[in-house]
Amino acid sequence: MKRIKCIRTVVFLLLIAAISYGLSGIVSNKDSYYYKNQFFNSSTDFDVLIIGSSKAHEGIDPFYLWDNYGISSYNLASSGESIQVSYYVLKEALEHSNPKIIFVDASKISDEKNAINCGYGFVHESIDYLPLNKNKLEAINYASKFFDGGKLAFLSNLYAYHDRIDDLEEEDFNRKINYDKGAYLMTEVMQVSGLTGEITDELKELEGGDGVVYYRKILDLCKEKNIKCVLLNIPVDGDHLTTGFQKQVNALMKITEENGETAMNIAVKPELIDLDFDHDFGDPVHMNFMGAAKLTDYIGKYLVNECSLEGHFDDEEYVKAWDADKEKWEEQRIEMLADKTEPVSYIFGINPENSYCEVYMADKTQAEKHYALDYCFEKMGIVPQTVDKEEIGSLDMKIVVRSREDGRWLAEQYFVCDDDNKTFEVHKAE
Amino acid sequence: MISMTITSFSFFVFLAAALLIYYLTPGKFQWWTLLFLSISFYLLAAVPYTIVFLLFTSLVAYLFTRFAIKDVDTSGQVTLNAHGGAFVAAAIIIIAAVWFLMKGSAYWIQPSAFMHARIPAFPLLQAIPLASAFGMGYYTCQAIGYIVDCYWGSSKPERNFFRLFLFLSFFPQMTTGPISKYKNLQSLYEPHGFELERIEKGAQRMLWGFFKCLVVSGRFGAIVNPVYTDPVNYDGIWIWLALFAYPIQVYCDFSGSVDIVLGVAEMFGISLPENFNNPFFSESSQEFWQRWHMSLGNWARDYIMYPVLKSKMTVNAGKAVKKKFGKKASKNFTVTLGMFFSWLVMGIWHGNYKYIIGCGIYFWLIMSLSEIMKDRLDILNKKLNVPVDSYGWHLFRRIRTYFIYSISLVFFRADGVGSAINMIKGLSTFFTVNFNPWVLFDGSLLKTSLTVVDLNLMILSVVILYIAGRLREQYGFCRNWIGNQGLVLRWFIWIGLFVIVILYGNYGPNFNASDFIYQGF
Repeated sequence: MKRIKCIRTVVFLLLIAAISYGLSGIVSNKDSYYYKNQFFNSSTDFDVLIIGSSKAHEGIDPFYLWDNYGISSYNLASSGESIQVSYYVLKEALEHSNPKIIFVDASKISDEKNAINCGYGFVHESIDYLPLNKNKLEAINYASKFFDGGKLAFLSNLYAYHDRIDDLEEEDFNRKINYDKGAYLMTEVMQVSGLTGEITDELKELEGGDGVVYYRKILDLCKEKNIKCVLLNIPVDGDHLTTGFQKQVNALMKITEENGETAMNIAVKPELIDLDFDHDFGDPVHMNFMGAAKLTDYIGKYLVNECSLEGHFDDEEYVKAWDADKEKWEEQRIEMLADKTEPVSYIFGINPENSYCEVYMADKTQAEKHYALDYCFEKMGIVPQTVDKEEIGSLDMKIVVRSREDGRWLAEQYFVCDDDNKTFEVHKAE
Repeated sequence: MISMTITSFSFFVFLAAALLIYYLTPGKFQWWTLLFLSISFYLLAAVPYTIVFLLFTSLVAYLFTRFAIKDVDTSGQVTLNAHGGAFVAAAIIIIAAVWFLMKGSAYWIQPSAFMHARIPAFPLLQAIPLASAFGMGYYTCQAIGYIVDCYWGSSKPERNFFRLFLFLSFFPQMTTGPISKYKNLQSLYEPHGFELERIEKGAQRMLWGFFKCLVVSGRFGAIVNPVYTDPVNYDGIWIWLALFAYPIQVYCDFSGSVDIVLGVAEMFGISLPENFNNPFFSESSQEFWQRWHMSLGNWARDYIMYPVLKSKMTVNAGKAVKKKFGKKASKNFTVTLGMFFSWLVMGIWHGNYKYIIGCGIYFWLIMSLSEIMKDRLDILNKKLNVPVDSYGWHLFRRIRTYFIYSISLVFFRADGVGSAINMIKGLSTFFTVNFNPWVLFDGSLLKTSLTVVDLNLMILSVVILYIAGRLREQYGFCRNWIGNQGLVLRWFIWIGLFVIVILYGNYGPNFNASDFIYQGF
């Protein structure tokens, strides 16, 4: 009798544990899984890894490196991620990969002492999907000092995310992964201010803040693993390139060079990548896919010319794996069109190599008023067709995406001009 | 000091370790383990140095009863030492004075501020710059109860100081009570072998407590808090909503935390006294207070009301009233007098004048009037042919009792007496200035921090609480009924409750884990 009771209790507890595990999977935030899954489950290795914040996440396109140079890379950068968190992500990444070169985003290397310089949610986004091992525990141990909720808030997704129960969506039950090798490329276009302020080569006297300490740790780790480390200062608009930040980056560049590594200060020399401040940004601090392509191309040339990194175009295993992922990524791009809220990002969301857009408008003159729409039409070779308003559901614009191969319909979206008649916004069906 | 609220993860870790250590300890040393655990808990959960107050109270209770009482024989006959009575009185005064200095600072700070505003020369008193002691309201009552019990011969003075110290410091009850009697807590010192069933029952009780504390209480608080925080912007039905929602918030917070405490104690094989017994099923205020915060009510009855009733002065006064106004008036007089002191002390215990008025004087008046008017009302009901046995009449009485308690809680929740009175006055705005019942239907409720899911959960919770209450009335405890069901239904209920708590509980990093309402006492 006693034995039966014990068995029953054990079964009950196992059931509770299984339910908790299942619920944890459902309620947890999927961003980390979404962006890092492909890295941890890749059949091929990566020669280049990118770590850092959203600037790197949105500024370097691994598929561009593959398509143009045959270089296998993965973008492990994540929104709001500080260098301290990047260090732990990198440490874990190096357990699964043997890269030759690592690019480190300079924008979140803070010189502040006892500060993580990273929001609670961003830490989660960075480390949630890391396997639970020594590296993750070290990351949690460090990060938990800065937030309420203690270590449990990072150890248990159920504890951290149970209040997402009200916000669950289809993706929470049917997990998706990002096929863009960790990158997130913006397709919006925003005109931002160019570099009008002073460019300084002065150095900040570093105080040994947490960020700097962890950057040194990254340099040491790279040295230990015989990996080349490149510090990358990614362009932002003129207003955000403050003198203080420049001085800090200059000091970090000095540390980098003293360690025999390379620093690329593209932010102060945007001409190196022929950056167009009118069209290459998605917002003031993030380049869009066009800016990312320019930066990635610069990196690609550097990798081939300066680092003598050879591409994998002749390696069948790599070609097969990357082609398969590329195919999935193209499908995902079409799916992602549904989330676009205005026509420029919608049109730029497609890959013109394998699809094209047909644009129908009631009044073509309206296009002039929406920023960069004409530029977008020109760039994508689109000639909008004028139609009666009734033909496009009494709205202002209809965009149809078709396959370049056979003209088959892939997606469509309707847009309306807002009250001021200055921008088009996606029409949401009632 | 780490976060050791009874719903925190740290508390879970502590509890798991405590149970392991406790059941690995040989039986006769288990109470030493409990003492060690209780001290450890105090040092972890409270400002460590405030344990001095607990030690001091324990020492006073121990030494003074030892000085005062020579012996208590088996029949409960007490032999006092010389000046025994004085020692007992001194012990009570000293212990109460420590409480008064630390927890009752409002009673001397507020009058001094009042006087200072009128007579600047009058000194403006400040709170003692020491951290507030943890669980002081509870252990002070227990210590006084112990001293009086020893004096009356209901308990023998403890010879071993550490045993008494364990009684006063037993860690689960330090958070939100209940207030125990020494003679009823002898299971603290008894050996307990590990029993799976005991752990199960304790866990079930804890889970039920978590449901009330984490799922229900905060959601009702989402209606109450904005109204009390910003009363200028809320009028009409909002005030009524806050009025009726707050008793549920307090009940779930307080009784839920006590459920957790009782569940924890149960895991160690220790039965602490019940503190709640379906208070909202009460049909009168008198019955309500026999079902609400029962351990404090019982304490006030045993150590305040009865001594007042038995005192020579009351007896003599009762005789005088009897002579002049008759037997009935004499009874009413003495009971009313006893109740006055009892309610006064209960009001004082809560630590502010507003509690004396809203909890003490208010209920004393209600209950005294109801006692005095009882016969007349019965006659009136008969004359009006009120169907006193009908469900409707019982329901009316319950609603009436709920309403009376709701009014009392306005004093409990409002910043002060003035704010409470303004809030009560504000109830009339619904009928005079802003008749806005559509607030209930036009989505205004969703402009608070509540979502549709929250509102549904609140309705579901009230239904669950009602069903659990009915089952408790019928089966002693709801879990007794559940225990008699088949495995599938039993597991469905417990797992369902677990899932609700896990998913809808207000815990985790995004939740500001404020202390339980009754943890401050």
